[in-house]
Amino acid sequence: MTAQEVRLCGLLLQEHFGEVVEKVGRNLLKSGTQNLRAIVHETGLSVDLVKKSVCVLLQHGACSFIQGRKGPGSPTEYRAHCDRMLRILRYPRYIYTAKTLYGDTGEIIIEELLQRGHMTMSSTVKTVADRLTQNMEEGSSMDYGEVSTTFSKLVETHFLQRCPPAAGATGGSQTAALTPAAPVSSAAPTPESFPDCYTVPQVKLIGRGKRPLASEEGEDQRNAKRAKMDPETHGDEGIYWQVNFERFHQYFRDQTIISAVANKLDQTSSEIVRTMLRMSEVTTSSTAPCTKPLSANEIFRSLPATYNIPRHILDQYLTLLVDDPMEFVGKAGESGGGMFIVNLNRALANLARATLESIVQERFGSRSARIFRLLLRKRHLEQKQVEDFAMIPAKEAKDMLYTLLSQNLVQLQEIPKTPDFAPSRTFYLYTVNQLPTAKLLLQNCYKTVANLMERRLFEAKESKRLLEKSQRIEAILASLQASGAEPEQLTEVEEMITAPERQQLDSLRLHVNKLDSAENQVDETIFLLESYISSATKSTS
Amino acid sequence: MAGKGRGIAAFTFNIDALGIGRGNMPEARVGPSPLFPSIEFKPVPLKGGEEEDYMLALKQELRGAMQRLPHNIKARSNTTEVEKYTERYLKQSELNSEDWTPDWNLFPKELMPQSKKRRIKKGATTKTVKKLKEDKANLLSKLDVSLPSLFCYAIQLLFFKMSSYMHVLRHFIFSMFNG
Repeated sequence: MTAQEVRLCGLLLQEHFGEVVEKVGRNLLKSGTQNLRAIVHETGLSVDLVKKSVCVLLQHGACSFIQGRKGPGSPTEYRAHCDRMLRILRYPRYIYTAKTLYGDTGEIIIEELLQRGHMTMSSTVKTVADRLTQNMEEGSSMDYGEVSTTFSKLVETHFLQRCPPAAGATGGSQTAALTPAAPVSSAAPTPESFPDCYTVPQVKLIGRGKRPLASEEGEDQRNAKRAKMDPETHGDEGIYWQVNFERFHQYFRDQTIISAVANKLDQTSSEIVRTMLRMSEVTTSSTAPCTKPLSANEIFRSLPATYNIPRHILDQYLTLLVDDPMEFVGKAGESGGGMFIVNLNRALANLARATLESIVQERFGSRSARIFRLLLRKRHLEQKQVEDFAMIPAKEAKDMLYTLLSQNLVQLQEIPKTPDFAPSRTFYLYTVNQLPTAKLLLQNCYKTVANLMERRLFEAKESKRLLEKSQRIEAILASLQASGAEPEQLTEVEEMITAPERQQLDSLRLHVNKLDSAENQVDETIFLLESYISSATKSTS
Repeated sequence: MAGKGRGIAAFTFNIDALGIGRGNMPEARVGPSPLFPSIEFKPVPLKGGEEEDYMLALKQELRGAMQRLPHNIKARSNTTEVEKYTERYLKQSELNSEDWTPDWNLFPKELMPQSKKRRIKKGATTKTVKKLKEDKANLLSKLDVSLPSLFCYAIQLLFFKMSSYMHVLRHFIFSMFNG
């Protein structure tokens, strides 16, 4: 939990859950595991507010509780999960992916689940059907059955999973990879360890989505009464569903690899890699370094029907992919026409390396980038060797090296000739370590996003008066239009905002949109670096 | 130690090994670095396309929706303040926040809200109010005095702590002007 991460989590919590939850969350992040009394004491808030905030954090999985850590009588302790809070930044990407894969219904299902943390299947289906009905034209409504089928499809492809039951003792919905800091007697169960993790309950949901009635008041009252009188239970109480972030991350990683292959080689090679990844979706766990070996025959049979390339062309493509320096595809044997694997870890490392090189190039120029790439490949080089290999004049090379050194992107390694480290008898070598540099740049990315958010909040605060005025005028306009006013009245109200104010509002909107869009795009870099770091640390541990 | 200037402009190591000379040292820093330094290479413009626009719209909608949900907890504001006229229009357009109760099977029991009404406090407050009234009555009767003692009293005030007698003086002047 670095300072930058805590700052970013605080801002995200404030934007989405309010200031009270932000205070509680920040306190939990900074102090690790705490019980309720300690939180109340340190934040200075009232007990009710703290209880409500902890409930909200638990609902969204940002916090987990452990009971009886120091023995049977000790109070419940709460721990916040920083990485779960950072996921909030990626919510739009998850929703957009669901839309591309499963259409509007899938999009709204994922959106509702992300907003509410976790929900039962029946309540999800009802809410989603109501929302979809609102957007459809008059007279038609969304059937529950359709929404249920989309829900089942999402569960089959593991995009949704059940929350593990919290029967009294430990109730964490985190994966086992995050080792709990406190030595608990029984480790927090992962959702995957629960055998029915991906089983859809047998629930009969018959009905259609309801449109909010605005017509007759009497009918409204009658409907409201009826709804209160029969609470509908559908037999799946207690089974809560949540979004499976790991599966989405696998999907994003696969998409990144496929688009990298498409950029470097061509469309057909990317289709081949896509086929290979699709075939190994269910057989490969999310932490595997490479996919299971697939024979060329299998790949040939599973290629999509639109790509009818002859067999020998496929073999040539596969050879090309194996020989490529980016090492996306590797050869694992000769049986069955050649066994091929996709090197996931190697691919992530190469993509991260390309990201680092591109960052150096954009910040320091192409010649500094040349020095950086040289040091990445040749590991340790002396000052003189750097100048020679990079073919850059000595003075400029020195300048660039020292700029990179001062930014911590390049490290100095001392190799002594004598045990007393005398400067005249020591080699000084420049080197770049990919993993620590990636971690450094990841922290920079967190700081960037936090800065962008703060600037956006500042801009909104500066023009708060103007924004309130425009909101007020919109509300007045809406109420006038609803009660049927003449166009002259409407234009009169619209003219209450003067032209320079309108300009100011437009430029404010432009700035806020730019800052928001920048946050989304920095998050893509964050995802890549995070995946690389987690894959590299897992393989070395 | 053995250098040309005794500690002045002398490095402890051989500067030639690093490849730089005495002449091309960077300038010494005077003060903190500027807040917005000028950068040589301008950043690349943002990607702008249909996908990015859609995700931007999603993000803003999501933020707005989550701020209206009951998960968003607002600190209890001071209700004694006068409500601004502008806020009346904004409140009308806001949806009613449904109360959200989590499933207590999943959460620890200690987080359930407790609704214990504390009745003891009410009696205590009435007692203190009565006591104050009695004190006031006593003081007023003591202060029903004539003019010479007023003079002595004024001199007393000049020499003793004014603050503790201020409320008495106020009552005194009040009674003087009225009766």
